[in-house]
Amino acid sequence: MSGYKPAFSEDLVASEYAFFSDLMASTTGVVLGPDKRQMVQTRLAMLAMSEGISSTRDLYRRLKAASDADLREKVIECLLNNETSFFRHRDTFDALTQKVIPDLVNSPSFSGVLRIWSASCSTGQEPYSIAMALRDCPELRQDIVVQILATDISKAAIEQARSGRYSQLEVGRGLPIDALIKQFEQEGTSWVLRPDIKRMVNFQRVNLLDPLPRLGRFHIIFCRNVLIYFCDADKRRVLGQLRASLLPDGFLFLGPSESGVRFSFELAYDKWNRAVFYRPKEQEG
Amino acid sequence: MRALTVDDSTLVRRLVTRTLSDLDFEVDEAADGQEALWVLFKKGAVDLVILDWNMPVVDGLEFLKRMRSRDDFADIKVIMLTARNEQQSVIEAVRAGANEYVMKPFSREALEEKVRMVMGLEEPA
Repeated sequence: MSGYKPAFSEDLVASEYAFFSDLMASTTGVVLGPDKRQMVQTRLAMLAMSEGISSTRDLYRRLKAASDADLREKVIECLLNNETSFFRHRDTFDALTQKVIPDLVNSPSFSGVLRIWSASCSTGQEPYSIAMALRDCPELRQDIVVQILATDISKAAIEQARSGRYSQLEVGRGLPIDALIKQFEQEGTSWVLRPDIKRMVNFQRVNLLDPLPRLGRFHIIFCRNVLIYFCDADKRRVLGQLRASLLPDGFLFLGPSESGVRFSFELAYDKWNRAVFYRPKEQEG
Repeated sequence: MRALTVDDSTLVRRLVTRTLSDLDFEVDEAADGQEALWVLFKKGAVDLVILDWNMPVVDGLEFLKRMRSRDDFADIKVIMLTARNEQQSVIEAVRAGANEYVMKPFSREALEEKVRMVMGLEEPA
């Protein structure tokens, strides 16, 4: 027996599926392989329902017939993967506070301003985890100015991130209980970050495939679990942009299954305990 | 590694025990705090306790306080797994000696993450 399918969800034919995957690839770089078909259909069906459109096929027809920028953006938003959690891959945060920060701030060339970029911050768990980790980092002297920039392609994700408001389910993922007690206030069914942590992070909407706006250069860049969704050419392009945004003594953190050296000759592999990171290869004057 | 699952719901006990077994724990079960204390006295300290709060006879918080009052159980890691989701309850549990806290309804992934966290187990890639 075939599974129940709501009226909104119709199987997309190959050309229709290709239309949506081309749209994603050209605007976000995200490659939706055939294995994502079920996810794409389910999410598009939910979007169609919430927009009062009768079916996914109708949604396709509308997008194809006219350039509805608003609907196009909603489709892209709903197909982006915003999966994230607090302190995702704890080893990375141990390396950050025990290796990377001490190395940077104790270097004779350190200017006193520490710049960190969370390049695909989704709903904010990563940059806020960085902010919380820094708060507890004894190496970070009071006189050091910390700037954390957090960017993402998704407008909706950035909006949630800015609010610093999370559900019980979201704070239940990865957040140690002492951080929940110390850094959050409960408001009804939500948990809201304390203003002093929120203030540490600035959010901005950025598409990593576009030429980057003037963000400056950073000591530390996090771009984790992003490249896995890109084709090889886009991986190279994004890594090139990240490399150009790193200071000569900087550190780049990628996801555990992503390789910086396979797609960039300008990055060198390095590790500390179980955490892997990449450093610029050429030392600049 | 040895663990103890304490919950008056058979269903929750089964879910928790399965999660722990998959992480290579040898698991005992108890349906309330009193039974959990008996298990500890009879079999000795375990490495980890997953503990419900609202239970008959001896509740989770009372069990935790009694357990923490004994030196031989001082190193046992405790994760509260409870429907009590108010900030005050979280603080109370931590003060009584809970190492971590998972609010119900919970996912297997969330529990597994907290187990790895308190036991210092490597995360899957």
